[in-house]
Amino acid sequence: MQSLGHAHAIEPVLRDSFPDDGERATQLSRRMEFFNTNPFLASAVLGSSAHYELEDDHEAATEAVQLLMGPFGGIGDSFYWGSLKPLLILVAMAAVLEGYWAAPFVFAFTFCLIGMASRLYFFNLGLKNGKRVVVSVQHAGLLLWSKRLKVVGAFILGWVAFRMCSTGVLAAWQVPQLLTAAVVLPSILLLGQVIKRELDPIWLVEASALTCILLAAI
Amino acid sequence: MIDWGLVVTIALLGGVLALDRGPFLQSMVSRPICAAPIAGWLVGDFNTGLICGMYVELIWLARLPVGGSVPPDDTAAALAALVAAMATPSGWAVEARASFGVMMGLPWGWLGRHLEIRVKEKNGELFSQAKYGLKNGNISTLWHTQLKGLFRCFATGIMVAAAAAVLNASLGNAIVKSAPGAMEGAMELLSVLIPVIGAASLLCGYPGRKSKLAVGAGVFAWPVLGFLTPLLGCAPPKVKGS
Repeated sequence: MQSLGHAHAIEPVLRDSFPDDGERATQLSRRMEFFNTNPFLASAVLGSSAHYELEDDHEAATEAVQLLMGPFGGIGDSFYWGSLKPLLILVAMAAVLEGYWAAPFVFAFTFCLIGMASRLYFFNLGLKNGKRVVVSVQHAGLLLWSKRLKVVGAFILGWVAFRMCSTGVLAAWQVPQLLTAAVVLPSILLLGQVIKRELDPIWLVEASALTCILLAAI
Repeated sequence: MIDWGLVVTIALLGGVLALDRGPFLQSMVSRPICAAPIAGWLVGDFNTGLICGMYVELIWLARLPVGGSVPPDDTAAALAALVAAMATPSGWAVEARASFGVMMGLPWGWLGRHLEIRVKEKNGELFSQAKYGLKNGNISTLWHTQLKGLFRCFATGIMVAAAAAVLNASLGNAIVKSAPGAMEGAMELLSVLIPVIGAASLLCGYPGRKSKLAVGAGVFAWPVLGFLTPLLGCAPPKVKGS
């Protein structure tokens, strides 16, 4: 589907060079190759490709796509999917736990806004710089920011996990908060090691549910 | 008795959100934390939807749509969780209702994932179709093949959500009725375990010593704040609405 999307997006750029529909379609079929990258940095690839198409250097345009989609896929996935999205979702969760019920929708809106701004910014960078957009993206320091955001995300994750555990039944049983935290943290670290060994958390949830039901039945 | 109004609402929402998951928009409304409260609002229980969404979100937040990998369909799981939660008595604590929903809803995430992989494989054929059409000078093929791909995703989303709504509503009702007292206690206990499992799962996506230290700091921040503030003469932190 991304290949189709790419062809669809580049089609208007080819209108000047190939005004005839039939010829443009043939040209597009030549550009239809495997295309898979991060949706936010795809705009940089597209911009770079458009840069060469507008200069009538069609070979360089195809080359730019092949050259850029891999690295940009890695950088974009790490930053947008691996760091930014979890961080914003965790902030939204923390806000919900403090009583701000609209926080999830603020998250969706903020992520959309950042996504749109990124797409516009990187498309313009690609359009202006061609293949040199690599240098500009490198200067943006997305990988460094990705690492930093992950640490902030980890702090909020701890906060959210504790707040979720300490409300509900544990609050009703009046379990001291420091004791709850002292149990929650090692449990998270221990279960993290178990999940790291390719165990899907769904099995842990279902096994825990079964154990809880058996315990309650006894 | 199945509420067909609920089934139709959830099915249509499932179809629209399936488009938002990947092929169209990606506005993040399809994330469980948004999808479940929207569904909850539509069927009349926003709060349960919100907690269901948070639980499902935390469990699979570390599974990313990177490269060719397809993560579990957490949108379908969130919708299925909400329907199952709605089958529990309204007198239960909202956390217990949501935990029951999550227990019943997660398997739908796996089913949804397998169907999504099938749809992606089928949509892969559209690439050759489009290329063939373009070679023959037919530029509108591009548009038509994309619409076909979108429709497949929409239809699959509707099917999964409808099946989840019918099965989880009836099965959830039957399970709760079989042992209501024990089930409520069990689900209250499960509501403590789900965040721990979810946090452990997400921590796998945050490798490194710094992240582990940060999680530790996050876990202890609230109780330490609660311990220190009275000593400093301030009011201890309180939850809004508690």
